[in-house]
Amino acid sequence: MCRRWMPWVLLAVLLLFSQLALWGSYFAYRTQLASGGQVVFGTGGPGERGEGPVVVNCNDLKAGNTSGLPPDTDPRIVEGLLQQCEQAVPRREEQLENHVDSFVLPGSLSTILGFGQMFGLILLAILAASTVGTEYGWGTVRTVLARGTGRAPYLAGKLALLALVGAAGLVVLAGVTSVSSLVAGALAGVGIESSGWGHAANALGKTWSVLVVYTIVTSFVTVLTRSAAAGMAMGLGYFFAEQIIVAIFSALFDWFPKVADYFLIRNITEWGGGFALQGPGLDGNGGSEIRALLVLAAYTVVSGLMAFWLFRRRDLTSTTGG
Amino acid sequence: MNDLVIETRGLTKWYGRVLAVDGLSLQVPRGGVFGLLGPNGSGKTTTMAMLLGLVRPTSGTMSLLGQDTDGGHDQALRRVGAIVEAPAFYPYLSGRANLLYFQGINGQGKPQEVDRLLEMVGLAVRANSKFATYSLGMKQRLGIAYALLGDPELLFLDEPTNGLDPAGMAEIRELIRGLGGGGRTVLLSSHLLHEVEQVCDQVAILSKGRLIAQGHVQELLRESRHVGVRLKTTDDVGTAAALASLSWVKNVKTENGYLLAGAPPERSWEITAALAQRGIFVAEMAPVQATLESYFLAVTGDDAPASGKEATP
Repeated sequence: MCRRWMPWVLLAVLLLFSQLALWGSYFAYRTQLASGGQVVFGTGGPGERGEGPVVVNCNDLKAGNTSGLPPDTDPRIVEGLLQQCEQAVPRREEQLENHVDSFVLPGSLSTILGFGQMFGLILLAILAASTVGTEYGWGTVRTVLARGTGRAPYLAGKLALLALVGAAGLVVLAGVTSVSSLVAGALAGVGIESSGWGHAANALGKTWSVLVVYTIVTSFVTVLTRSAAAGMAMGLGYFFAEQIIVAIFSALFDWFPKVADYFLIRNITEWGGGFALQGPGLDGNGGSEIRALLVLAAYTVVSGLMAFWLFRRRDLTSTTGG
Repeated sequence: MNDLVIETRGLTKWYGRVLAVDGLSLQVPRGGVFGLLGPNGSGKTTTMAMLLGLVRPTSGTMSLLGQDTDGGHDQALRRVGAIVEAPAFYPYLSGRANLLYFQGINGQGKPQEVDRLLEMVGLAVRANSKFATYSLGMKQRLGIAYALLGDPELLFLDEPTNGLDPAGMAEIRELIRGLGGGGRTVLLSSHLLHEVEQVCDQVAILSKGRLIAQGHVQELLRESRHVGVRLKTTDDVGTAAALASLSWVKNVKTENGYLLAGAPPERSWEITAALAQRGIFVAEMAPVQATLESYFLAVTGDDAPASGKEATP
């Protein structure tokens, strides 16, 4: 991919998937609202009465429409189904509230930013590896540094730029999400909620902070290997690899979850509070945000210092004797 | 005021077990074109890379434009233009866009300067084409234009005519000769002897990472202008015997059907007289002029391309 377009392509991917999530919530809300909830009639398989379970909309039953049921259905069964519908009202309303929270401001911001953490980490890691690594591959790092641009300012500039790009991406994501939320809220007839803005702002800050941590770690790997490909492999692969490793080894060894508490992604999850692909948090039963913050700070400082140290010391040449 | 723009003292670089530069002590005076001459692998590029801060010396010290490089020499490098190894630019940007980008990063010069430099190196017509589409020669030209951004005091040009056609080589050499004027110094590395001879005022000859000789090109040639005379006679065997009897004639050998004798050409008449006394007559006789190539081969004692020697640091 042409590097010039890479940030835009990655941003488009992030926006596309985040908006799919938001509008998915909206359509789930509309479907649930229109159906009034659903109940299941008949639990037998195809061998019983020749039919499987039948799903019936509660609103149809309330309107006396039993066309979804077999013709010879006992009225008492219909009555029972209506009772089930009534009993499910509190749960259904809770689900509707959750859906509304996911596509109406400010709840939609928290939801999408949490969702965006997963994609944002991966996408910014790709961008970081590309930004730092291709300079080695193309040799442009020599072109710049041979004219007196110090190594430390050069790398610091790259990292600062990536942090800014991450922040800009989140602002764009929040902006697009806000517009979508206003449209979806208007279509659903639901207004903006007054509470939850603080939580949204907190989510924005935390999402940016975990993006910065992952960017610095990926940049360190890229500087270490002097390879954009290795950096991207780290950015993409480690995210999933850690979760697989934790799942496997935690099942095999009792002590492993204690060790895994210091793994990068688990602490990002704990601190960021966004995506939750890997099940339980720290200690296997919900951990400390503060500890996660300290662990992430340690990753950031160590990776950053190592990256600068290596970048300052390493020879920048493709020749070894010419 | 120190009139040296570059000074190295015992500069050494090991790449693992390969010794690339071996105790190099080099002095480059201000002004003119200074050549670093040596075969591939002789340490020219590594020396330049060390001076530019791209490669850390294993030992030794150096100064650039009067600034010692021990604690970094970014300030001095801001007065330096360089093209080391292959010209490296962003492939998806045009030549002009690349120069503008790097000019912006370095904060050197004005945007109009970019167009002037592109014109100077003969790249104005393709200035808006992507770098990825450039031929090697065009990339070299862009590299030279980049090196000239900001009107630097000192230019490092590493094999700048690589990939150029003969007309382009002549053009760029002419350009480089011009760049060495007005107080600017050009450090030109090349493995092309005739290029250095044509372009450079002074030269340092490197072989296997070591400095073999350094001085003004014409002085080096004058020192080596011993070479002698080439002759064909009616009796080559008798001629060889006659020449061997002359104490001031050295290194008599046969080459391509001619006898080569190490003797001052101004004493040729004494040779003809000696041969005539033996009844041998001269059919052809001509002085042999020294070239940088002959000097280079003489001082390096090696006409094969050298590579870094292997040893233990």
